[in-house]
Parts: sequence; structure tokens; C-alpha cells
Amino acid sequence: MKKKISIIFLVPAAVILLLVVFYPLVYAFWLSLSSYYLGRSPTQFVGLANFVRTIRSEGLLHALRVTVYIAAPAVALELLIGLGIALLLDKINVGRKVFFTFLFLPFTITPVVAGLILRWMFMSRWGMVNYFLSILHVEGPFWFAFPMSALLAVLLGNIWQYTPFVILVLFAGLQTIPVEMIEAARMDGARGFAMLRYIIAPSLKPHIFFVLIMRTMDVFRLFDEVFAMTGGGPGTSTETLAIYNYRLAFKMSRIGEGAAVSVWTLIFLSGIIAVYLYFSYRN
Amino acid sequence: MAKLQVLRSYIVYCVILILAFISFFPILHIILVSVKEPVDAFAMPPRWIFVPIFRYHFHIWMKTDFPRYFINSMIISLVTVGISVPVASLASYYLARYESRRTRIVLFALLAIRAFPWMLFIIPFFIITRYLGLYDTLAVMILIMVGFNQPLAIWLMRGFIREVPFELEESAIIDGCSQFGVFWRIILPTVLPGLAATSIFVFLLAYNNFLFALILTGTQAKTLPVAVAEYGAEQIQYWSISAAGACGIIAPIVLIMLFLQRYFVKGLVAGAIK
Repeated sequence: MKKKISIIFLVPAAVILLLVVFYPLVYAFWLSLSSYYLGRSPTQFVGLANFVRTIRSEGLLHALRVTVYIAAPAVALELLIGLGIALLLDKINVGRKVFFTFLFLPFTITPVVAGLILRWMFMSRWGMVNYFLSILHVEGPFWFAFPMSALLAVLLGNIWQYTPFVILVLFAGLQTIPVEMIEAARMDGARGFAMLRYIIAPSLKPHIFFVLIMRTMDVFRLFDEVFAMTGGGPGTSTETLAIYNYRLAFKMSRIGEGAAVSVWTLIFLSGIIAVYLYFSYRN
Repeated sequence: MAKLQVLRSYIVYCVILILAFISFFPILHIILVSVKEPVDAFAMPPRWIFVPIFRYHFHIWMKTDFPRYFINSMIISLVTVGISVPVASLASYYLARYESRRTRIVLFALLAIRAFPWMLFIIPFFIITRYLGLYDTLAVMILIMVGFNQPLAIWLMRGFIREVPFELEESAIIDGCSQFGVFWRIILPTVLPGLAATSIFVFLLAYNNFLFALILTGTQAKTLPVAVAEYGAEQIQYWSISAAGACGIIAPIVLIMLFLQRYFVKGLVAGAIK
């Protein structure tokens, strides 16, 4: 028996989503087509001028580069490390929950606080990272003084904070692989890498795909941690798309151009997601 | 052979122990900094043995506006949970039980919202709230948090409700239960763990939010993350105060994780698989 459920159940959520998500979205697209400067009126329709101006500016392309420099290694490394830890957790029986709690905490704490903590960790003279490096007889750099090391610090911080998410999803995925399948493969002599390559990886495909998409989307929104950690500096060398967008709209008061940059960000991200989808459906 | 097995499991434990330590150390460090004098906090090499002082914790809770921001954050997060979880439960009941092309499109559209940059929403909100005179109010923050938690809350709740066997509902309908009666008396009590998981998620998302509060609040509705980000990180004498503030803000999260982790993990797992 399939009964029809009254559509009234949907109404409260629909009203809220229309009001809070849909309406601002339409307004934002309209703003991206108009010249709107805070404190200066009236608003004028300018067509695609904001889009042309922002894509030609060095700021947007630079921010895109920074975001990709962080996103590509972050997503790849988080996936690899996360898979490794999920496999390790799968092997142990005693104390799994306790380890889980500690491994999971960085993901749940307030991102902006995580950024502050990381800032202290990477501080050149008093930071713990350089202290541990000095124990290994390595002289740590002045992390936030140079573009490359600042980017590396942001990347390492991102890995610290978000690998737990990957661990959780992949660990849940590992639990869905039937034990018989593993046993059968072992009978056939599959060990170590062969097991990973031919049994585990194919079974985890939907989970890996989910993690890839989620993490990529999130890095394109990356703001809080970097804002608290480096503020986009030194100079603009760690200025992600979100930080650039914030600066353009709220520090430089160019609202129309800011909205255009948001739309550009959406376009870039859609392109990347389209590539993911292409590869996932081709197989 | 057996010896090799034991050795191998030793190595596995050691590796996990080291990883868990790396994961937890930065948080431990901030807790230690908050109970040391600044001079000791950043002494090199670090001092591991010291007499803890709670002066800085006392300072932020008693002598600054920290409690006010804490209350703001709590009001926003709790009211958000109170509104968005019931609303999402209703919607997800429909979406879980009535599958069609149209509901699939709705679900996909909800997921796609995650791909949209926050600025795309914040810029119009900034203008609208200023125009309506609602800038810097708790009500606007709550409304926004409710809206942006809907997709996740609906997806999670839908996953839980789908697992409720249909026969349960059928018998209630035969007994003459109304649609809402079925939802209220049959569905909700069955998915209580799911409600808990969703509530924790929504709470954390609202509580941890920084960007919306940074731009849409001033002095009145300012939340903890914004306040903590403003604490001076430049001068060394303020570090202990900042650290105490950071501890104050993550304390509720750590408590939730310690006591309710089960539900939280279950929710994420459910959300990830479906």
C-alpha cells in the first residue's frame, strides 16, 4: 500500500528555504549585474561589466590559484591519510572508541578557534611545530613570513582539521564490505596491496567519491581557519577565493563586484565537480 | 607466526597512538597555555610541570563581555535546533515516504546548496538586514542558521525515517490514525536517536559559524567565534586570555563529543552512506 502524504509537511521547510536561501540567491545574481557601492547610490544595471572586470583583475585569478594550490594537495592527502587511518582503526578492537574521540576532535571544534590554535602552533619562535622540529634537529622556518611556508602551514592545518571527516566516512564504508568477500580474497592469496587495490578500493568507491566532492566544495568555501591563521598574508599569498571575496565586498565596499566573484567561484567549482562526475560515470 | 601477529598489532597500536597524539596535541596545548602564566606558556623548551593557574579563565568569565557572547551563541544555536529540527523532520517524512522524480530533484537541489559560496548569500543578507533595520539582531542570525541547516537536517532525518518499517505505519493507519498522528506517535518516537544526531549536528553548525556572524552582527548579537577572533593574538600578555577564551568556546563541543559521540558518529555515517 502506497499512500500519499500531504504536501503540507513540506510547507514550513519550503517557506524557510525560499525566504532564506532562494530569495537572497536571486538578489545576489541581480547585484552581480549591477554597480552597487556601499554608501553610494543609486544602483545601476551594468550587465556583465562586473564579471568582465573581476576576471581580468589579478586578484581573482590569484585567489583561484591559491585556492587550487590548497585544494588539490589537501584533498589528495586527506584522502590518502584518512584511508590509511581508517584501515588501521579497522584492524584494532580494543580502545577503538577512545582513539576515535581523539582523532575526531579537530573536526568538531570551532573552525576559527582551530585557526587560532594553528597560528600558535606555527609561531616561529614560540610555536610547538618548530619546537618538535628542533628536537629532530631541523630548523623550522618563519612560517608566516614567506608565501610558500604560509601556504604549507595552511595546508597542514587543513589536513589536521579535516582528515577526521575522511576517516569517519571511509571507516563507515569499510564496515559495509562483507566479511566473506575479504575472506574469499584472502583464500585466493590476496594480501596487502592487492587486497587494497582489488577488493577494498572498488568497494569504497562511492565513499571515496562522496569525500572528494564534499572536501572540494568545502575548500572552495575555506575562510574561517585561514582568516584566523594568516588573515590571507603575507601580502595576499594565502588569500583564498572566499577571503578575496570578503575583502572585495566588505573592505573595499564593491558589492556588485563581490557578488560577481561569488558567481565566478560557483562557476569554477561547478567545472571541477563536472569533471568528477564525468570520471565517476564513465567508469 | 603468532609472534609476528603480536608484533604487527603492537606496531598498529603505536602508529594510531602517535596519530591520535598529533591530532589531540594542538588542543591540549591551548588548554595548557590557558592555565599558565604567559612567561611559562611560551618558554622554550616547554615547561611540562607547573602549577596551574585559573586567573585567565576567571578573568574572561568575570571581567569581560565573554559571558554575553556565550549567551548569544547559546541562544542562536539552541533556538536554531528548536526550529530547524522539527521543520526538517516534517519535510523529510514527506521526502522519505513519497518517492518520485520530483522529490529526487528537490533532494539533489538541497545537496547542491553546499556548493554555493557563502558570500553569495551573505552579500544580499547584509544589504537586506540593513535595509529592514534587522542588522545585528539575534532573530536574523537564527533565521539564517535555520535556513542553512535545512538541507543537512532534511537529508539526515530522511535517512533515519527511511529505515522505519512501513508496516508500523500501516497498522496505525488501520487503527484510524491521521497522517500527522502517524508522524507524531509512530515515526518520531522510532527515530529518537536520529533526532539526537541531527540536533547535535545542527547545534554544532550554528555554534561554530563564524562568517555570517562576522558580517551580520555588530555589538549586540555578536557571537563567541567572532569575539574570540578579535582577542589580541599579537601581544604575548594577551595569549593566555585568548587561550582561555578558546577553551571556553570549545568546552561545550568537547563535552558533547565525550557524552554524545555515539549519536553524532551514527548521524555522520548515515548521512555519508545515503
